[in-house]
Amino acid sequence: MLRASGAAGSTLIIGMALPASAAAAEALSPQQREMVLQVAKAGASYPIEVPSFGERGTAGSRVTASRLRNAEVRLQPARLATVRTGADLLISQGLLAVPRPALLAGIGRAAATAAPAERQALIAVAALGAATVSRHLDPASDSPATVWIGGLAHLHDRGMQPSALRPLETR
Amino acid sequence: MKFNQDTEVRLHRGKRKILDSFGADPNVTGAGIGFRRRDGQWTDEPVVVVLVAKKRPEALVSNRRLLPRTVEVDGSLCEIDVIEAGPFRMDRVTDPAREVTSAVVEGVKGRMRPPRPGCSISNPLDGDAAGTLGLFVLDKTDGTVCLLSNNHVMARMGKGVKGEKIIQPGIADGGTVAKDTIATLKRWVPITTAGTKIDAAIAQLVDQMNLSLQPALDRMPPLGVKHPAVGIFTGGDDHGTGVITRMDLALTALNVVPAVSAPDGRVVAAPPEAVKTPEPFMNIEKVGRTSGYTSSMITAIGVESVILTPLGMVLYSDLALTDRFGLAGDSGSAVFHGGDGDTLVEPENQSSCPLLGSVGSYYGLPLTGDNDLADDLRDNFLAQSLLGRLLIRIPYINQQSVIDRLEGKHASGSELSYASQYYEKYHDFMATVLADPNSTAVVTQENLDDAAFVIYGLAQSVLTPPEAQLAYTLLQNALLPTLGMNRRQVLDYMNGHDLYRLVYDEIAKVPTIETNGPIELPR
Repeated sequence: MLRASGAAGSTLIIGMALPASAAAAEALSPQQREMVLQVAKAGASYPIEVPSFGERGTAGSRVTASRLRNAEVRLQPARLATVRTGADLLISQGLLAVPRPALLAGIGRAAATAAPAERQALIAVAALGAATVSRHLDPASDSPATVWIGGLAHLHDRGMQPSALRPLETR
Repeated sequence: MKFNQDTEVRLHRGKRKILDSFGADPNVTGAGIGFRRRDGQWTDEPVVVVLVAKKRPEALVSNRRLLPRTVEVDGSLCEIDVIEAGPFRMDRVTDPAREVTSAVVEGVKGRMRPPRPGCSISNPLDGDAAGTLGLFVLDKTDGTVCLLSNNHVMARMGKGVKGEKIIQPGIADGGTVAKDTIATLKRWVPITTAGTKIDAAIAQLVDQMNLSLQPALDRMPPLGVKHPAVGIFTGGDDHGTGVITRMDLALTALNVVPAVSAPDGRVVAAPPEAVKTPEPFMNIEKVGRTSGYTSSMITAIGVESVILTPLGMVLYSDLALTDRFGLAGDSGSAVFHGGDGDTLVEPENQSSCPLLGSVGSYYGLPLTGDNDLADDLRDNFLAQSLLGRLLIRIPYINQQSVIDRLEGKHASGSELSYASQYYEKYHDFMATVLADPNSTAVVTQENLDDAAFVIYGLAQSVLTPPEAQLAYTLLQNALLPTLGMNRRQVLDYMNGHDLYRLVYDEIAKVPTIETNGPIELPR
């Protein structure tokens, strides 16, 4: 194993992939994984049904544990550590098992009040969730998660509740 | 220059036909009669003058909204001249923020004793307002000297009560009831939303001996046979066009006559020749509270237009039009025949694109402040390619449909939030790339993903299903291939005939989008 310690909270990997035991140590806990899945489900249809980018099924139907694992393994350990931080932040705010509107509002509140590093961690969670919904999206890329998180924070700042977009003619 | 009577009658009938056919178009703000102006020069060709809020090249106007070049009257054709003017509003000062006055303009805002035509006045019950004292007139019912100004300056659009105080200067210029009352409201011509030709009122001078007939600033003589009054300056628009109501109609309706000074110094009634009707090409001059002395020219007469008033939209008819003659606060100024026709004021501000205004208002974005950026996008990028020239036309042609669709609708909180996210992300980037023809920035996967999210968002909110399908198709077939291209490469790509045909054919399938047909492909 070729491995060197990096800065606090991150690990620099040189060369080969981690062996299974080490990878397991870096992986999300079941609770963290459930948190990311909840975020992915919420994001699949808020504020819009996520584009298919060539995949079949509704965006919501593509949010599965196996797809999350596939997205997870595309991440470097440092990014995964950031995801864990973000998931823990949401769990600590009691958002693991709340209804979807409360989860969206809670993410907005967390993002609006977070320090920059915490907000980055929330973005990492959202990015992993987005890559679960759509394989086309890179779980290590901050876009479009930054926009999604920014929109929720913007709503929180203005005292508005997140609600999915509706066709103009129904309003 | 005068029309012969037959021509004038025919032009008025042509004007009526145009208003009946196109008056409901929100871009048509009125119509009158006059002579054609070509490349800024006046000709002797009589025309129906049609006013539009925004004048566009023919190719950029929807075919069903395109104004004709002529209108048929009794078997012969009247020519039409389309000019950019309106929508109009009353030109008293009611909002200090609107008062943008150049340092070189000498207004008449201070206290003036004795009061003189052109000075600032207001009805204190009208709030922080100011307009202009137009003329001194004699009340034919009792011989008293009265001030003449607009109804909307002195009589609060008819909501006033006889005896209300009129002060000089107006409230907006620091006047107070206690120290500055010079007259009391006496009579006015009612204005209703059904329409009017007249916007005038009189107030009786408190001190009947304390007045000067010489207009303020001493730039023009008092009213007389050699210096006849033709109208009352009443309103304007953002382009610099002013509207004038007729003086003769106002005096008759109010049963007053202008005051002049007799050789022995007494104030007496002016002879009838001291009042004229406005004519096209007539040089005019006035002194007003805000813009002081100006001189311009009558550009159209017999104009019908809807004016925004405190009562709402009111149809004014038999108006005269002029250019760069007055500003907010000049309402009530008496307009005289005279002057060089070329002592002008600059418009208060330039109007912005109605499409940007509508979309910006819906999404809560400051798009009207991006007029210059939109012009850059059009002139320095899109206009340089075949596809771009097609894309320029589409928003212009369809802008009213967009405005109508969004009218009265409110974006949800989520639409507002995400519109602001993308606006902040791309505004400065777009400005930077547009400012640099050699920009090395390239289209990234992130840009294309954002485009996909935006398109899906529009499809799930404001687009019709066929429009959404068009957007998906163009994303897939026209936009995604730009991955990795820089600005010059995108322009080359947009000059491709195949791409042009693909985009045009897809757009033409959508029933809610007008194209005015394909643009001619270069051989």
